[in-house]
Amino acid sequence: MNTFATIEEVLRYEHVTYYTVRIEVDDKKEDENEFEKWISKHSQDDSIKDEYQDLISFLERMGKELSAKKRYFRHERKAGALPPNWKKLKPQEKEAHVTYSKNLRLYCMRITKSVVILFNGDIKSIRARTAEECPKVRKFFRQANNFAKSIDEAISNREIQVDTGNLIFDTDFEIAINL
Amino acid sequence: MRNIINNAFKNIDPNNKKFVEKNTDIVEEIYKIFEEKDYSQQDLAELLDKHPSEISKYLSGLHNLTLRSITKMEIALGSDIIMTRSKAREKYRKARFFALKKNARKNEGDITDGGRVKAEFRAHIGEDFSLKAS
Repeated sequence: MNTFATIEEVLRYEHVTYYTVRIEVDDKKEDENEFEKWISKHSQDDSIKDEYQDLISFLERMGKELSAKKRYFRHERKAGALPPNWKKLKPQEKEAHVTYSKNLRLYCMRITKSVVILFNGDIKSIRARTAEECPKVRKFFRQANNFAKSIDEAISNREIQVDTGNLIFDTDFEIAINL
Repeated sequence: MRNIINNAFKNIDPNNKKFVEKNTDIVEEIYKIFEEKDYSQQDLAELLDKHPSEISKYLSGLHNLTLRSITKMEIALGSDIIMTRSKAREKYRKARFFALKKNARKNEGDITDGGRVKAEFRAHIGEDFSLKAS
């Protein structure tokens, strides 16, 4: 099964442009992109109403005023040793970031202070210490890392160029992923 | 499909929006104090005798900080983080001069920029204050 993903812009604010990815399986694009899937799944869940609303508010706040400062993003694998020491992280460990309020996770990739790619996420079990230990978020955590790895490679070989507040790539650009 | 995203941002609960705004204002203020005093998260953790991960949670912008924990941070940092409007008015009413030495030097050799800063500053403070640039 050939799985690809395309990158699409979803929101543009003064300080941050948010992108997401849309999965394409056997030439058929999924109806919802990854960020839409996250919204559809969690927006009506009353048990996490505040967490969900806080995260959406936070994305807006960064976009309108704060910018995507590194300090507001965490590295899940390093969650036990916050704040992350970026100089000590391996390149691949810098790729997938997570922003969350309590247990609701939204995985994302912070490219610069003005470009962030939003993926999907879920509610992490309070019993699980790490994302890998949680059966619900593990899938999205791994998926986010896969996306991030492919995007990072595409940036390295200049298939994607990062301009101020913009990702520049060909309209037919796709990233190959192993999900 | 883009409506899903637009609606999500259009329908943000004003309570959550205000909570995040206040919260991040406080966090940004703490980072300004860090810069002024050359402190780090680690220093604050040590001053409060807390694990660094706890401080990181405080500074996430989404943690529900209590007034007690804010006060503890203020004591540890030796600086107010939040101040009521009337107290701020009382405190800053007494200030008669603001030194702009740093800015003046920054703009040295660039008269236009220096002049612009001066004019903007006057416009903001009104006639009760004088400009002391050295």
